[in-house]
Amino acid sequence: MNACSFCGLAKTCTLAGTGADGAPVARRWYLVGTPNTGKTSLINALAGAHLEIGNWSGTTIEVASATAHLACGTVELIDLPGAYTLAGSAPDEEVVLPALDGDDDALVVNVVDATNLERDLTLTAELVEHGRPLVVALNLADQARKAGQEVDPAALEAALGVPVVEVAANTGTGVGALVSAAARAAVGRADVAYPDALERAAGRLQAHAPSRWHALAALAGEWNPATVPATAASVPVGATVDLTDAGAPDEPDWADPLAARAEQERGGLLASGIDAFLDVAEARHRFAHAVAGRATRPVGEATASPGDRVDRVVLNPWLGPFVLLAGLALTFHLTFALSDPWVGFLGEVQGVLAAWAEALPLPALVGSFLSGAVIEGVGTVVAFVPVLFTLYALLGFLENAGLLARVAYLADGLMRSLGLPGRAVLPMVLSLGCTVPAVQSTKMLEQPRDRLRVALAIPSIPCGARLPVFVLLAAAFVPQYAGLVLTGLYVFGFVATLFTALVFRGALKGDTATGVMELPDYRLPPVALVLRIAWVRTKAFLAGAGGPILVVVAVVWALLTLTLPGGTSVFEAVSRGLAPIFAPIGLDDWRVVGALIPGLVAKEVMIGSMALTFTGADAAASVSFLGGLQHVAASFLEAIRNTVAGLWGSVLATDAPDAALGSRLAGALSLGSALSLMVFSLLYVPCVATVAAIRKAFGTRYAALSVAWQLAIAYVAALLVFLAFG
Amino acid sequence: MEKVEPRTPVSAAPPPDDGARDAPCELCGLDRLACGRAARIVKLAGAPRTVKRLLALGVRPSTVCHVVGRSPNQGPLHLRAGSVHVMVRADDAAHILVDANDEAHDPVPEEALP
Repeated sequence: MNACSFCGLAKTCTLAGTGADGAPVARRWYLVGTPNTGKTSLINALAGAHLEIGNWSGTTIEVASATAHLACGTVELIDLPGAYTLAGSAPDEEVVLPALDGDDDALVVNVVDATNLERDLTLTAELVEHGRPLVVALNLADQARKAGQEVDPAALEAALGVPVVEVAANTGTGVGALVSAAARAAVGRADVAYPDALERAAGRLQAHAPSRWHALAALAGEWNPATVPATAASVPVGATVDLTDAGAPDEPDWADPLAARAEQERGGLLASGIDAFLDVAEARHRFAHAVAGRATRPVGEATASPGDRVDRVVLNPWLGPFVLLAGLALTFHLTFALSDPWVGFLGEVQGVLAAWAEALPLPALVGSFLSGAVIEGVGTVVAFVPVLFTLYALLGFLENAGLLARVAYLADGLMRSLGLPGRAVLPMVLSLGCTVPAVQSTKMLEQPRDRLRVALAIPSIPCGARLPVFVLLAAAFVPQYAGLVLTGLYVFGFVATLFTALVFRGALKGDTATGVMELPDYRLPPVALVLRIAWVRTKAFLAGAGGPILVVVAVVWALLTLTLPGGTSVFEAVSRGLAPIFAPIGLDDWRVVGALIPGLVAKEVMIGSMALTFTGADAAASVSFLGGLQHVAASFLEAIRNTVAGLWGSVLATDAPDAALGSRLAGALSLGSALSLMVFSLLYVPCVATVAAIRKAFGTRYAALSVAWQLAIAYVAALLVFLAFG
Repeated sequence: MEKVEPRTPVSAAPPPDDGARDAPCELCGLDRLACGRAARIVKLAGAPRTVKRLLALGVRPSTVCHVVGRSPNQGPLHLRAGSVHVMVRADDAAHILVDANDEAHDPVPEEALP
């Protein structure tokens, strides 16, 4: 006999199979709650290491899910985005209602923040009115006690008619009791006192609506038939989280008639001076206020919130900008200081593997393909693991600690001039290090339009990989003014970014973010959970973007390796073919034009390509098996040392420029051509990984738009520079 | 940003925690309130999504709202409504009409001021 690992019940367990009365019990549990209430912590406590992250059906909205293997059966847990209301006031929130509407087998676990009980109970009231079986997980009760409030779960249970269980999601305390209580999940009741006329109108509509909530939402004008799926099957859910492109849900039969009747009823109410939209919200708030009042009592000595004291410094109008700058600089520094040594380590491993591959007794072309396409391609993809993992961990920390909201508050005045929310400042700063994580970080913006605008704009910000190219060219052509030229390139990049953001402000349709955002309490997030989610997100990126990167690396390898019948390499032939296109901007040397092609893989590869064509190939160093292992071990230790040292050092350091290559370039190009090359390198497509990241986040169409836009502005800007200096 | 006509004031319904007030009602946008001041919200207007978000956060007619601070560069306001701290852009705050004479009942705690 297997006992359930949580509730301890065995044959009588009713959680995931058939209930005691023979009725089927939900196999999918949806965790619903306001943002930062501990839903993800709870799902982690319930399901351990089985967490997965994917996009919600047909959207780019991220949803975490997991499979909990209880002895009595398997339950799918779905962590829906934080929502203040079922009707949704932001795109992320708008997936909650379709998820619950579309699954007749749903059980709702409403995670309630005991420190914000009144606010959260308005959502609970909506969930009760929606009518799915419900259990309430009362989280952060210990924090509420510290603040001088004791919340009585029994009083809440009596008021709502659903099981209410106190849990501590971070530690897992109370999770067993929650699982047991899920067997008692009920539809519940919420005695919300709506104005009489509104109540009567809702009663008339309810006969044509799937639930009381739908009737009230239709009456309030909040209900959108397009978001309501006709059947449960139209919204796939669960641990198989490849939830992309399932198509828009069909409109159910009752949608249009209900909307039409609601329109009539709303008109009648307005004529008698009742605004259903405001009155429904007001009545729910009064209900929440009353229930919270009955369920809480003062306890002990209330301690002042340390968050208020921190905010006095962080949000101070005079100190705030300095705090913002310091915070952004620290985020940027940690992201790259903690990841760069490991990117270098992976590069060393890649080099050893490539040397071993070339030493294998294989035909030369096969060995070259193995080292130059397969190992190089996989290495290019894997090289993003350290930086993405670090970024996701830091973002997770900032978001859950309540710091990201403060960044948004402080930067809002600055970003508003671009029509962007304050949070957009973070992707822009991260772009200075690497564009790929910066594109990934646009997910934290509320509106898809803002995410896309920022993702299209930030490739113009010079990333760290472009710096060695600039240093090489500046040292070769303008050694006395190298610093000035480098500064000018950074300014140029930021101007191009602002220009792009403004151009797409008018060109892209969609909502702008509301200027309203909660400033949540400061909390120390559970580090293990933050790291776990960072890893899950990193894996999700690699799975989605790895394929296109591998393909492009293989194509570049083929160009560089294969030769035409006459003995000329395909690379040279293609480069000579492209040279006339670049002649107007001063780049008519095929070797320079050719370097732009491998520059698509990574900008620093341009230097290797030019070294090859201008100064000849280096003989590949052979590495013995044992020597390779020793080299990898030494690199590993060096990465550890560099990680520690990098915390206090510069993360934008670059190697000394190749003097031989510099002198060859100085002989082959004019100053105007060199400046034109710098500007073109600054503005054209940063790398294939950035394009893959944009494609994963926004689709092929916008990835193509990004490539076309970057090439266009790079060409025009380089032309202007060449005309001015050539 | 999409704007709609100002909605019907719900101040017709009396506030839940007090009775009639004698002080004359002086309506103004919340953005005009100085830091450290509090006022009772009379009416919410503006873009429907913004109103919906404000209501969901507990910033609703009849509640007392405190202006805790302002961000630099014409940035947003830092408000406190009940136990919830909220950021509201100044142009959205202009659509939150408050009774500037109605602040004495729930002053801003000294420690919450910047």
